[in-house]
Amino acid sequence: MSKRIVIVDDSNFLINQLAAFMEEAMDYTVVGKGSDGNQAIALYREHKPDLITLDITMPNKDGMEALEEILKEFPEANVMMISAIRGPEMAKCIKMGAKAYMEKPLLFNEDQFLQDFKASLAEVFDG
Amino acid sequence: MSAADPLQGTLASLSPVFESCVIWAVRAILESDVKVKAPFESVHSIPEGSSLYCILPTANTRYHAQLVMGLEESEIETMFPQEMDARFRKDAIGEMANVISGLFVADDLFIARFGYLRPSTPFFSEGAFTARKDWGLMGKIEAKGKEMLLHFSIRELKEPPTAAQNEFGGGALKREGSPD
Repeated sequence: MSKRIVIVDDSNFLINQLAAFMEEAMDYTVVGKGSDGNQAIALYREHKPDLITLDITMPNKDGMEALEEILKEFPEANVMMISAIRGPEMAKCIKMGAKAYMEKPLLFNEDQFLQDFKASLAEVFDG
Repeated sequence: MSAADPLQGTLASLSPVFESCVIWAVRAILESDVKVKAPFESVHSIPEGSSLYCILPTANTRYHAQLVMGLEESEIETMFPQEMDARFRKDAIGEMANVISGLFVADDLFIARFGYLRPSTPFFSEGAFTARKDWGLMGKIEAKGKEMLLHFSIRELKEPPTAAQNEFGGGALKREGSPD
């Protein structure tokens, strides 16, 4: 049975790219898509997915706030941050409890990216 | 603003960093060769001459900066031919701005001089817009046969930015087109 994922990003372009990649290349089922932190929390409550990806910079409620609220309510949640932000936020997200952090751009056509992405997923589920 | 403004020299020294961030990000996202059409250099001017601008503010308690990407709206389709929805193509431009800005403001030299600037979400301005003249870096590139203007400006704040300023460009911009 394939794993279920919720993807949250304020860019529909990115959501579609990532959703296609996760379904076609990684055999995941995308059960929800959202564009801000409030939707992330609502979608997590609704679907309790195996994995949720969160962008950091989003309107209304950013990804770090959503991360904090999701983990407060669901401490076992598997959260992968996917953001163009490099710097202290990256370490902060991991410290807060995110299981992995991927930097944009997501280079789906590059072997190295695929290796890194798969390694990050393995880290999420295998620890 | 005098020519002796220390920001000018600092930005000039960061020009190669900015250029390499732009080239790497655009090449990676468009999967295309990137040519520099106008060299990246420090300027005290505002970006102009494009029909669409993607604007991405960044700020900390001391500085407010913004990346502006200028391009022709009719040419975006050429850059993302696989994307059928015009709104999603704009999103892709915003992603490109996110990556360029994310790379540049995380550079060690940049952080050593300005500290860490946190980005806001990108927004768009169609047609002309007015902006306060701050010191910045500007250059033009060509990718997939289309030109893009890149402009990164920064100024020191007298007062910390408000949340609204972070969201909408620190008061530096007054949009005159139809905002996205």
